[in-house]
Formats: sequence, structure tokens, C-alpha cells
Amino acid sequence: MYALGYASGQGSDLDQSGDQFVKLLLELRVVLLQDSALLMPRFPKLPLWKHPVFSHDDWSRFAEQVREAEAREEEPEHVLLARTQPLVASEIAALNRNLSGLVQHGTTVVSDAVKDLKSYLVAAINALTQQIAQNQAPQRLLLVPPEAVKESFLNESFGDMLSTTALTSRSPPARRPALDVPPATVAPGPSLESNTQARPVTEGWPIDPISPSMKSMAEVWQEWHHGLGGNPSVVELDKRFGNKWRYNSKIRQRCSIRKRLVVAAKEEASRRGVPVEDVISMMDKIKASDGHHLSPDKISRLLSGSNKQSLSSLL
Amino acid sequence: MPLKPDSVESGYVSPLCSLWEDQRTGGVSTYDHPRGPLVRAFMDDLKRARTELRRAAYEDRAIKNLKDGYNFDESRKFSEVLLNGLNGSEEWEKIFRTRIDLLSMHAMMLRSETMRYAELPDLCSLRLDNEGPHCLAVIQQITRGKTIRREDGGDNRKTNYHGYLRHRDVLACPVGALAQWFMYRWDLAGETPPDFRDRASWYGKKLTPASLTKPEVEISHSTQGAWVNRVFALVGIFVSALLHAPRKAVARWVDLQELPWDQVYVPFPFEALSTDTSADPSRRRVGQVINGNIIPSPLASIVHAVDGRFLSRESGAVSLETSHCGATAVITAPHLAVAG
Repeated sequence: MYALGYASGQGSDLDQSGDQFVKLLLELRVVLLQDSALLMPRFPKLPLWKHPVFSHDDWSRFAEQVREAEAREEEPEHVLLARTQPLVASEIAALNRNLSGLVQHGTTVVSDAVKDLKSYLVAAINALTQQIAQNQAPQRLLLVPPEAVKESFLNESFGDMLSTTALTSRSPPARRPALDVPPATVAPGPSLESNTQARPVTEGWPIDPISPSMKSMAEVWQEWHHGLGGNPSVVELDKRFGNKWRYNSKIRQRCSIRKRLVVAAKEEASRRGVPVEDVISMMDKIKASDGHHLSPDKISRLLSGSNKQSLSSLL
Repeated sequence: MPLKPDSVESGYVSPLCSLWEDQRTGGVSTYDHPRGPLVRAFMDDLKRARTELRRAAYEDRAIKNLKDGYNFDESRKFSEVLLNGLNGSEEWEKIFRTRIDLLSMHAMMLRSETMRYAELPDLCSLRLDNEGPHCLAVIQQITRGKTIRREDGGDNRKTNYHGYLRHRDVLACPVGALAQWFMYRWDLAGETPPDFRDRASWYGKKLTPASLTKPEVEISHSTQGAWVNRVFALVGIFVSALLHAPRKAVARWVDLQELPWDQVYVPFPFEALSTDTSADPSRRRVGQVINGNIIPSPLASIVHAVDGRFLSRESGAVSLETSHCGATAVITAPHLAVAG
């Protein structure tokens, strides 16, 4: 590179502008000669051509090179792109062929392996089946509630195979209010075979002891006193389990709503001196101001809260 | 001074406002700012009256309209008429000066005074590697100008940069025009080339001086316009504002080409130059056309063989001991020795 500064003995101050300007001139020398090769034939009268560089032996050869390069038509980019398309397509096709071969080979290998594995498994299962048939009867898993299990039965039937202590220790706690999942539905009495959903419990109440919805007051009354959907009635559950069967807040809330309706119906029947079934029937026919029937849930909300109304006013 | 809206604004209102600011700063004036509602109403009325007068006087409606300027085909003819001797005048100093003047204003969308103010130390070169191989840009730094706002550092407090690239068409290439102008000045016309040992000897030299005998003297606005007018007349261009024409024409062309504005935002250097070269796909840079491989290194050392006493290769491979003029040039290069 060029170093620019004052000549020796004339100071050490560097002139950056001068350095940059000299570099510009060095670039312009090339530009000038290249452009001159193209301008000279078109403008022969220009005084520039008097410069000795244009009469130098090398000039003609250089100018010819420049003119040849300029005359070469550069193809536009879209033409070059179009030319590359077949090459790209060819490469992609070759790639596809290679990939197809690889996939076919891989498929064959995997297929053979699967066949081998299948035959191995069939042979193993057959051998196992044969061994079981020869040696022992099939095993059955019995899940029974602890109260149905008598110590003597277990001792007589299974002897040293089972430990009653182990079974007892696996019983869940009597009540788990923190969990929404209720104890498994296992009715006391007959044992269930391989019931994976039910869990052996001592309590014996249903998972869903009370219906989530109330379609009519008749249904509410039915559920309260006689049971609904195979479930025992609320009255029966209360009688058998106290309040333990209301094992989570959701069930307790449902129960509270139904109790409010039932109590109100009984009070109204007593006040009117009519059978409670008549009041229930009348409650199913209560209509709102917009003409729609009031659902039991709506009636319950009207009967409670800060603006609560009496059932007689609704009827 | 004629009472036109523009002249009233620049000749009366603005000076009065400046005077008020000075007096207010000095605590002399307690009056409100002069540009109040009355002045605004007066100016509006003046403009309306002026418009009516123009219509009544059948003033040329093409003035300042969409086609008040030149198109790009016409711009290609600038160099042609100039290099053909400007219709026989063959005043080559003026011709080469006008060529770089016009092409620079065109490529960089400059105001005319920017070219009049330009001095040699304002120029430098830059290689733009991200624009491809051998992409040379000439950069012109500007510290003076009407449109450099005071808050942007006008009045020599801030430097703006403009520039241009090589053009594929040698006739439209401002880089080539600059090279030819310098060659003419220092290798042919006899102007003393810059002496880089003494800043005072060349820092004040104008890029387009009034005369090569006094390169420190700035060309006048009227002379600059007169030479541009001669070119326009020969090309057949009629414009209402001679020296405004280049940047207005380029701005319109940029708009018609739908070029992104950020490529032509004037204070940013490389964008302005892009308007004339890279942004137009039909044009290529000469450096690319000839692949940049044909670099005439021995020949190039003959041109602009500036004072070799302070310009030397560190490697010592080339020693340039020459004066600037071709007639007495003696170049010593590894493969070349020319006695002019």
C-alpha cells in the first residue's frame, strides 16, 4: 500500500485527505483507461488522446481487450436462471432415484425383520400356552371388598399364597374429602372379577350418588325419596352413611339445592293441606314472566339469597 | 424586488423574522413574533392573486409541471454533445468541467451550489464489496449547502456524504467523467497538480473551478447555468429552472420506476448513487462488464503519476519519478519505461 507523508526531513504530519485523494486517483487511472478504450473510436477528436499513454505499444492490445469484453453480450439474469432450471431438475430427479432405491432397500430389510419377529413371537406364545395348559389352570384376579373377605376363607382357600395382612393394608381411608375422585363403586356382597375401575372400599356409596342436573321437580322428589338411575335415594344414603357419602363440595352443594326444594314443597303442602305430590306438580308448572318454565335450579335460587321469595308467591 | 409570494417570503418576511430573533435574544424587542395571523393572511392572499395573474397572463403551464425536466434518453445525450465538441466550440476545459458538473448533479441529485462549493479534498473512493466485485464508488462529502438544515449540522458543523458508482454506459458514467476531467486538468491543460506536502496548495482547489488558471476560484452560478443551458439547447431540452433540472428529473424518474425511497434518500450516500446505476436492471457497471480483470497496471502508472517524492510503494517495486505532464513524463515501472 501507499504510505503518504512528508518527505524525509519535512515533517511527520500525515495528510489523510491527501492519502484518500491519491487512492482515488489510483482507482481513476484504471477507470480512465478502460473508458478511453470505448470512447476513443467514437470521439476521435478529444484532446485526451494526445496523452502518451495512448500511443504506447501496450495500449492497442489493452484497448482491444476492453472492447471485446464490452462487446460480449452479458446474458440477463433471468436467462441464466432459465438455463439452470434443467440442471436443477436433473439433479432433483437423480436425487429422487437415489432416495427411492434407499427406501425400497430399507423397506425390504424392515419387512424381513418384522417377519422374523412375528414368527418368534408366535413360537413363544405357543410355547407359553402349551406350558400353561400342561402345568396349571389359568389365573384369575379377584377383587373383593374387605368386609366380604373372611379370614377363614382366605386361610382355607389360599393358605400360604396370600397374606390377609397385605390385603387389609391396601384398603383406602374411609373418607378422602380433599379428592374429587370418590371411592370405587363396589356394592357390598358379590365380588367383582377384574374390575379395574372400582376399588374395594368399606363405605359402599356410589361414585355419583346424586344426579348433576335436575330436569323437573318430579325427578328431584323421586331422587330424594326413591332414588334415581339405580342409585339409592338421598334419604336412604343419609340413613346408611350419615353425611359421609357427601364426600366432596359438589355433591354437598347438589344435595343442599335439592333439600331446599323438597323442604319448601313439604312446607307448602302442609300449609295448603294438599298432598305434596300436588305441590310438586304445581312447581313443575311455574312459569317465568317470559313464559318459559322455571327449572328446579332456578326455583331453588329464587327461594334463597338476599331477595328470596316464598314458594307460595311463586305458585 | 418583485412582489411575488416567494420573493416576499425570502426577501421580507424571513429577514424580518431573523431580525426579530436577534432583537429578542438581545432583549431589545418586546413585540410578538412577526409571523402572526396578519402576515399569514397576507401571504395567502398574495398567492391567490399570483395564481389568478398567472392564468390571466397565459403563463406557461408546463413550468414546474410533471414534464418540466428531461428524461433518461435525453440525459444520455449530455455527454454525446459535450464530447463531440459542443457544436464545434471545442472549449475542452469548459466541456469536461460541464460534463462532470452535469453528471454529478444527475447521479447524486445535487443542488448546483454543492458542485460549485466542492473542493478536491472532499473526494475519496470507496470499494463496495457487498455490491459485487470491483465495485468502485466515488464519495463526495458536503459540509455547505442551502438544504443542509441547521439542526442537521449545516454551516460546516456536520458532513453529509453523496456518491456514485460506475455506469455501464461510458457516456453516462460520472466516475469516468471525473477521471477524464482530472487527466485533462493535470496531464494536458497544464494546471499544477496537487502538492500533497502542502495542504494550503490544494485544499482550496475547486472540483469545477471558474478557470484552470485560478482553480481556487469558484465558478459563478450564471456561468454554470450558461454552460448547462448550452448542453440542454443542443440536446433539445427546455426547462424552467436550469440548475434544478437534474435532481428534479431524477426524482421524477425514481418515482416512475417505483424505486424504494430509502434508495434515494439524499443525505445517505450510497442510495443517491444507486438511482443511476444499480437500481436500474438495464444498466451494469463497467467494472462488471469487463469483469474487472483487465486492469492495465503498467499503463495506469503513466496516468496521474502524481509527485513521486512522497508517493512510493512500501515494497519499492515501483518508483514513480515523474512530473505530472505527459510531455515530460518519465515513468519507471517494472515492465515499462515511457519517455513522453
